[in-house]
Amino acid sequence: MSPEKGSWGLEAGNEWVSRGPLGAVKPADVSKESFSVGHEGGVVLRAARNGYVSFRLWVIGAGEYRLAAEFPGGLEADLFRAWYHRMAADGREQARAEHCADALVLVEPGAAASLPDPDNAIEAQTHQEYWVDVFVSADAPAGTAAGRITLVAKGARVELPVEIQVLEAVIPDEDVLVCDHNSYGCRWLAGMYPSVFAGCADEPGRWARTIELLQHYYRICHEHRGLFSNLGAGHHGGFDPIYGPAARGAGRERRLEDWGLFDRHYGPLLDGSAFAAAGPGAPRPRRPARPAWGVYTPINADWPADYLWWGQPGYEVEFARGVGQFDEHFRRNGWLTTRPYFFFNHKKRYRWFEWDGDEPKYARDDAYWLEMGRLFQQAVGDTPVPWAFRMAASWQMKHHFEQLAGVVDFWVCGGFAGWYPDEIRRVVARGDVVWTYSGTPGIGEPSAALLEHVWRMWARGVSGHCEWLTTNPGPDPWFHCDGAQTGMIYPGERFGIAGPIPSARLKLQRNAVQDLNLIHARAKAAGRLEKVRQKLGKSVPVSLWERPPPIVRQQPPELWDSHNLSATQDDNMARHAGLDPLWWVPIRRAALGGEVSQ
Amino acid sequence: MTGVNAETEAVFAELARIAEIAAGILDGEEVKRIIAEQAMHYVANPDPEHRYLSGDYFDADHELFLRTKKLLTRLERLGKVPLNGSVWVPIPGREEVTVAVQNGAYHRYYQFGQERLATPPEMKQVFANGQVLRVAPAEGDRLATVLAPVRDSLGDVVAVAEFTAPLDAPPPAWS
Repeated sequence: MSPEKGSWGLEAGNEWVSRGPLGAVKPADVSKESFSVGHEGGVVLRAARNGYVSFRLWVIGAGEYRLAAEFPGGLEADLFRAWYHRMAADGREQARAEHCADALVLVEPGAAASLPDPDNAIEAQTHQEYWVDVFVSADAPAGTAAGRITLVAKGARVELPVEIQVLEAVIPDEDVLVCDHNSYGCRWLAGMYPSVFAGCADEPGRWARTIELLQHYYRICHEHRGLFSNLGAGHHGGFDPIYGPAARGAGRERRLEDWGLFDRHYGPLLDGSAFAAAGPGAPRPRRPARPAWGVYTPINADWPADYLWWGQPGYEVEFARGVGQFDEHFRRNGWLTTRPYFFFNHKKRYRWFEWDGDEPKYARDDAYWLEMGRLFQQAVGDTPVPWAFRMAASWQMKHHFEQLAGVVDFWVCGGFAGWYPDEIRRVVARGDVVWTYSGTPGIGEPSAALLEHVWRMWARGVSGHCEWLTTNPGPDPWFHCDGAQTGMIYPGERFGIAGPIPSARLKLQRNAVQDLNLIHARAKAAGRLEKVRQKLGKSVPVSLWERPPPIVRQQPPELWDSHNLSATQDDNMARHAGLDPLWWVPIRRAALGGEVSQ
Repeated sequence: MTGVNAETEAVFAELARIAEIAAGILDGEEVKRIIAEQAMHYVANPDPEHRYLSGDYFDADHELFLRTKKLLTRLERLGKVPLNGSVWVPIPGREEVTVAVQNGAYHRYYQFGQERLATPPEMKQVFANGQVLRVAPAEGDRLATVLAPVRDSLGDVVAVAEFTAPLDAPPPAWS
């Protein structure tokens, strides 16, 4: 039944439970538990400083309205209108819902909206979901801060009081985990942002706009306590000129030239200045403008050394000169904080190279890795540039942890990581960086499903997790959504925003990182980090490690396959434990420590 | 070749020149052994229940692959236009071909991750008559392709080399 025109309401709920456009809880978010943010007609939330506290808000009514938020000094509220993605037939079945909310559009102050939302085009829509972010600055006074959300419509005014209990605790700027958002190349941008590129036929102009858009992706991830990673080189080794200089000359004359586009692209990421400005349609930056944690480089088997000479003296000379000049460019510019990656992404199954640079399966390919490690070390020596030799480790990870020790020092491990708790602990203990990787649960899944990755990395004691693709929400995420498993960052184009917009999933991930930052910092300060990790690890129902299947125990990786493992890599990537939608609540409580009474 | 302008014709002529050289120097005995036997078994016998099996088992002979790749690279660099080469081999027991080795981003037939391709009529022609063949450009085609036969020691055509050049567009960086 539709609300009568002129009858308006505001309701609030926790961040993990979404509701559909007719007011029903998203089927996957129906919980046996409850976690209310309400208290005597208003919202009451606790928050640490230097971070966000969030809740979902539903406007209920019919007609035109305006929504505003007011908070006292030290607190700022951002209202985001949620988009209800109409699910494609397959996705609808999986989601058990016609529509799921995810993409978020920042509400401009004073902007009018309507219910039903004509843009979202849902007949008989009665509810509009909003995501409310309240930023509590590091210097906000501890204590109670009273704010409110106000809805104004013709002949109606509805107020929702919001009380934020600001805690003494301050969320550290440095994240204990890296939530990595991976992406490939830049040619997808032209299709996603036709307005940005409209009327721009000249090549320099197109590259300038491409760089600008990519930097917005870096910004949105940075603001959400994550990292954007954009790999420029394709499997064949080629890349667009924004990803690297030109390699000219051969042999002893090999040299890198034309750094202009590279510097324009990466300079602001490597000195941190890119993060001092807001992206379009985004609130002002609240995170410190610091250099990115790490970036891909265009270095690959065919660049800067010519693969024609692989195995011959010319390759070694070209490699040493090219990589050496790359390193020297970083030193000269003072880019000594961000980790540039020495990384291979090619797979032999694509037939450009005869060895696996990504997820190597055959131990006989090790010779290539060892040789690349030798060449790399020879090229950069004891440089102050914090290079990281990154490997997407998979089939052979257990063997490679030993065989490539001292060569690879940044391991991004596939789903098989769950079989190797002791080995991973040893690799972490020797000072290597260890991350995991996977896909992202789609929007029909429980909203909190993607937090399993966040939890698992901290509980396992690894320091990052790469979601292999987060910028491609599908050909039509708005009205024919495939679940958007490869896109928790959406293009803002259809909302007139010349850059990416966030999602509820991205914000849930950010809030989870905040929680773990707090837990980690407090436990570490008390000298109890491992005890706390173990204790929480046992109480949270996310499996951390598992016994490998028989084939793994009995045969070498060369003989494993998606059949005898009973799962493909992709199955592993998409898997989640089907936990209760409110499974994160105990972690939130732990994060807010003894100061939490709920 | 009606409807082809002089610029396009020049690209075709250059590709044909390279293809003639390729037909003379690519070694079919080596090319047909690039893909490991076990890998070819899984390419030839896809399991509909386990579609990643052939990827799981894909492997190549390092030495033969590298030698052919380097030869393709040298052939490409003989060209006066940017072009890329690839070598297609028949899949035993099927009317299909698969890429054994390739370079760069310019390709007429290869789709990213592709393991099998129904042998295109023009490739069938090259397998049958052993002649270099210009692939007739279709309306709006942005690529020019010439195919070359690759013979083994018995003179049989055991593979087809593809040489493809862009007519008016840069390649996608991410293929």
